[in-house]
Amino acid sequence: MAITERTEIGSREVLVNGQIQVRQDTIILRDDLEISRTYHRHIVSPGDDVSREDPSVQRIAKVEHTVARITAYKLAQQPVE
Amino acid sequence: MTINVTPIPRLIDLAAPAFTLGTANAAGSAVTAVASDATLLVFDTTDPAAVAASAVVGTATVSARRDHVHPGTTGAGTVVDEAITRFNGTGGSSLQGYSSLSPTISDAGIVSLTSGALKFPATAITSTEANTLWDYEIGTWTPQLADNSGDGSGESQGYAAQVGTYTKIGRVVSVQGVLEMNSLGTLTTSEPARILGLPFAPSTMSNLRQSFAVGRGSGLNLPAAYASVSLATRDGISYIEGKVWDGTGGGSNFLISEWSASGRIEFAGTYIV
Repeated sequence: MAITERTEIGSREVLVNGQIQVRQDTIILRDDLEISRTYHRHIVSPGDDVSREDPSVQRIAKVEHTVARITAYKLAQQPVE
Repeated sequence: MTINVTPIPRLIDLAAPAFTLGTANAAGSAVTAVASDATLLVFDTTDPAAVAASAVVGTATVSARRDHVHPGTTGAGTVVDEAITRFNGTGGSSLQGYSSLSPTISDAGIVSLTSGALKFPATAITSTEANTLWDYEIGTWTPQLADNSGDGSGESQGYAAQVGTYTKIGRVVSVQGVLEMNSLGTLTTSEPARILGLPFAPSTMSNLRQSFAVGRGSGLNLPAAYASVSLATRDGISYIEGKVWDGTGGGSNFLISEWSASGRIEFAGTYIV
């Protein structure tokens, strides 16, 4: 009986403002049969450093994180009281 | 000599129920080709199963009516009133026996789970219906501290604890987090502190701020003894901002310097996406 673990990007969702919601799945297998799956999530926003992201996420960011979207996202972060 | 007289049977004496022939059918129609005063077999616009054309003499092949009541199947377990019927296997030709653990649907349309669970797809199918529950998910996330650069790991900041969990029900996300530093690295101490890593982007509804409660904190460098910290998201941004309630008229930004190199915050909150 062999227990193995692997991770995969289970979901990538691009929101209207260019944010990418990423779900990384951790899968536990017993003799190649999945017995457990857990999720870990994070968001990649326009302008974020994507060099440490999964290549599939980098490809999406390259298309979605345009200069216009990065500018708009920075504007949305302006401090408000 | 004896003469036996056998009465000639008349059709009217044998016909009970009486049969009549339809007389007003359109060409090609057989709806009332034969009518009787008792329903023997009725076909309508919903095709029933085909009636065999070559039944053995002395037998009758009868197609099921649309409103017939299936007697149910015999299977393992206890028969449960209102249980949902399941197919056995993928062929679709055999019904599985009821189980005492089966979910049920009442005549009023109430679905009840007597055992087991309700499972949603891994990739949610969003609904905008006000009364529709369309998603459930649990998981983890990793809180990070950043300044205005929005970089949670590239400024040599060090973490003593990063714990995050979430539960999403429909559009509501409930998060819990613990974030403790052991070094601020090169973070700009005069800039507001941001907590990055939320599992889902908050709603972009204009002017919607969604608050989080800070339950405990330690190692902070707040400006006054009774100052408290609150956290909130803002429409369209994917991080949490902080406020320090250090004035009588309101608060000021929770700065990196006020977090300090050993600061720890434990927080929780609910927001909509």
